Amino acid sequence: MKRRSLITRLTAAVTLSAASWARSEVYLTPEQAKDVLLGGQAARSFIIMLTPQQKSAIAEASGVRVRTEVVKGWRAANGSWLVLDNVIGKHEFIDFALAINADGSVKGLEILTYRETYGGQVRAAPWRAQFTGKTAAAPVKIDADIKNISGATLSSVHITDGVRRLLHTHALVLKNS
Amino acid sequence: MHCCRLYPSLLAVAVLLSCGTAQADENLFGYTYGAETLPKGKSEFYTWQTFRIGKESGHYLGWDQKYEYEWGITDRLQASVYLNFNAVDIDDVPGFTDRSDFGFMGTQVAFKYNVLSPFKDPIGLSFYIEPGYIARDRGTGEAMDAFELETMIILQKNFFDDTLMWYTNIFGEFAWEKIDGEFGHGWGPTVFSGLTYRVAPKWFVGVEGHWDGDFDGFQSSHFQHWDVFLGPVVHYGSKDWWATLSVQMNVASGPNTPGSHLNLDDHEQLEVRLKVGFNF
Repeated sequence: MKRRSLITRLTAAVTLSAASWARSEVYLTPEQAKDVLLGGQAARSFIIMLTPQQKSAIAEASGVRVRTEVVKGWRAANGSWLVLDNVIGKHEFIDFALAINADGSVKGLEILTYRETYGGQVRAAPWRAQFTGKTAAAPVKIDADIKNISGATLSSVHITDGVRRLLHTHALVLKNS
Repeated sequence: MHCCRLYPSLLAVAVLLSCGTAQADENLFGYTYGAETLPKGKSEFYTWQTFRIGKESGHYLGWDQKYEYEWGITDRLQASVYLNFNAVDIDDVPGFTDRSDFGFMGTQVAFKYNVLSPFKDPIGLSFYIEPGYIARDRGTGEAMDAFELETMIILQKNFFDDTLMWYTNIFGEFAWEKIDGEFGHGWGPTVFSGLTYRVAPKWFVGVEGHWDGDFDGFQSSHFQHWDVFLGPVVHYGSKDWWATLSVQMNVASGPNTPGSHLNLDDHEQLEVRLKVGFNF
């Protein structure tokens, strides 16, 4: 009985420790990102399923592969959007939230989770601020109008590609819905 | 004269180096190097365990151990230091003395410089150089006194959001062994290549192989033999550590030992390599 109790407590401790460690990689929840990026505006959640034709059109316009047909997040009363998305990191997915103004320009970018060994500098505000005001008409490319973070190239490139893909998703799909 | 006496051990040096050298950063393959370098100020510690199994007859087991520390000097240049150990268990193998022991095999330093990034340039490109000292023949376990210099061109091409990766290395190794107070020399080129795919977050599965040739002396006319190895590789990588398991089967060689389909004087029938790395 004592032995079982000890095993139970050890299991609980390991579980709590793992959960705590996992939580430490979550920098913002989607709800927190909504508060930060939409400033407490009234917003309703949305989920849009892209058609194969829309996926192809977005991929062609952005030059980025569209891995999933699901586009989700919140739409604010003033016409701006908050899109929850992810890109491939070296080991796991990097979750991020992109706020897009009604005119199609970037309002803000937040990194929600980052679990990679290196490259955490993509969370730095000055780097993320480079995207503010960009539209689908801008290049939004590393070494063009977005600076690379040396030592964090994979993350920098993939997040930049993800933002460009979502800007074209807005231009081709969201603003017409 | 020295070339003839030097030949067997120099071949072993070439084999040791072409199949046993270290590579930088998280290793998706057991043998083939990637073009990435560590970010400035970051460090990694690795351990390699390579098991070499099977000669033409008798019992042969070789166990090579490598311990490596590397750090990023800049975002493009990294340095490494290695300590190598070796154990052999040989019983009734023609041409080999029966032996079962463990010893210090040598040490190396290495530098890798990244020119083009595999993530934002059309192809990744790095250059690698590694001088070293060898105190023990990894094939026979006998003491030796040799110096070596490895040079390598590393190419890496990524596809599909960096989920499919192709690495190729063009490798040249030069060795000088001291016998009776004089140095003899030899060299060996090797081409490594591997293809791996990210089947799930943290997991890569692929294949890799290599062709290597051995020369006695530095003249290309002194060609001795060639070998081809091929096999699967599995990699797991997380934020703090990673592991890679590679199996290499000796599938072809030439010229072969009379009566055999392989030349097993300087290689074995099978190699199994496990690498584990820790980031800090």
